[in-house]
Amino acid sequence: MKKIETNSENLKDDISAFYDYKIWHYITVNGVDLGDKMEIQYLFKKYGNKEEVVCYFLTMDYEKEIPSIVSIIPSAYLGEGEVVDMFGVKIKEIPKGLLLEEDSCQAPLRKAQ
Amino acid sequence: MKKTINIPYGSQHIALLEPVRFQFETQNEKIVGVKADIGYVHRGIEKACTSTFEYKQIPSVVARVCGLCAITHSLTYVMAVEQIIDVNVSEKAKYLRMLMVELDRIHSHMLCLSHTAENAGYEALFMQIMADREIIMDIQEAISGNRVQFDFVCIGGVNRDITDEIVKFIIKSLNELQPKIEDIFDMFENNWSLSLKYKGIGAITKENASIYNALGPLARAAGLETDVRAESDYYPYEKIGYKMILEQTGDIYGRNRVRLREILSSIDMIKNILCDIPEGNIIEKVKGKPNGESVARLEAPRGEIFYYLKGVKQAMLDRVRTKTPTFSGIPAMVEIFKGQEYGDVPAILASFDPCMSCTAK
Repeated sequence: MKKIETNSENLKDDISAFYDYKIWHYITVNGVDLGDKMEIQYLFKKYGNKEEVVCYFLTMDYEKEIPSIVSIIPSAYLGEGEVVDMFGVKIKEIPKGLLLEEDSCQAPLRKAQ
Repeated sequence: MKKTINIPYGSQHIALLEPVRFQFETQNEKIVGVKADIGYVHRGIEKACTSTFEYKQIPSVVARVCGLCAITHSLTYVMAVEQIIDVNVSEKAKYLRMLMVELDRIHSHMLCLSHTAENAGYEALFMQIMADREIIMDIQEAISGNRVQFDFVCIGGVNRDITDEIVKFIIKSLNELQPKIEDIFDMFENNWSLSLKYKGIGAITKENASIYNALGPLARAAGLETDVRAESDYYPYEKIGYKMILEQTGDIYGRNRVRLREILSSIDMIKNILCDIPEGNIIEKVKGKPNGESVARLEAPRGEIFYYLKGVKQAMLDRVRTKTPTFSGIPAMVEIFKGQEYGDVPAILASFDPCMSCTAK
């Protein structure tokens, strides 16, 4: 897996410059709790190619809000919604409740829980 | 402004035996808007994998994500672990893994085709396909000891070897199945009533399939060249005669054709696997504990299954991420529904072959 670091300020610009839907298959958005902060990963694979998976990632404080990439990749709302529910992170314009109900255990994959 | 009517479809519906709810906004019979609610039975398997089970136990845990593609879930996980641990898997084990994955594809595609036939009103065809599917279930039982939850794959190889008697049984069974599949193919291809339900219905263009990240037969029926089997060197698919199956229509008819052609292709590949299984151990000793990050992808019957793992030299992993094909396919499904007749929803939905068990992992 080839990892490329970005940050919340440059995320949309970096993904926008990189992503071409005719070339890249968007796999998913992934969250990893690092213990004191979160790592959010955006994973891609080139169509019809045996090259490795490309991962854009950023690290963020738990309470910080990051932008959504839905305007660039329309189907990303599901992966982002899952990260919002499972880790309790904030992504702009992505509401809670995709997978968990209000009375469910909140942010179950957050280590501090 | 025309009056619109909102029609809920699921989570309990006679034509949708899965815990998912679609909210259709219709004008007369035409669908003009769709919302999908997938959050009904989240089971917390990712959490269990990092809080309850050690990494060696997880192949059996993630197999429970889905009964239909249990083998692909456990195998994708195992492939990810094997990248961050000291183990070399034998060629023989890789061939046996491919064998089970292709058997899984056949029975899953047959299940989907049977449901598609049922939703077009062909109960007899549904029953015929399900009866023929038993041939594959018997083969899987002969190899793994189980019809559904195989637990055949383990870290370092596979749990059971294959005997000459089983090889003969598989070849005899596949020779029995092949003409039955050709008969079913003929029915899907030439039956006039079925063509009314399938041709031009529920279509997606290649461009939209790419924009909305469609996967598996849904994408390949629209001509989008995506198949993990062609995008990885991990298994020698080219040696066993793999060819990507593509159609161009993007409709239910195209998806049925992709599945039927893939079944015939998988039968050929399995026969080639059985002719070429190398000698060697079926399992290698695993040393140490997983350390670092890894990802693995595998082509399940519905499309790409993806696993991300992070190990920190502990028996329990730090993170296990599962991405399933139906979960990724929801945006494409929603797009396809727009502009369709409400009466075609059951047939379109069945042609997606949705697996909410995977989605609510």
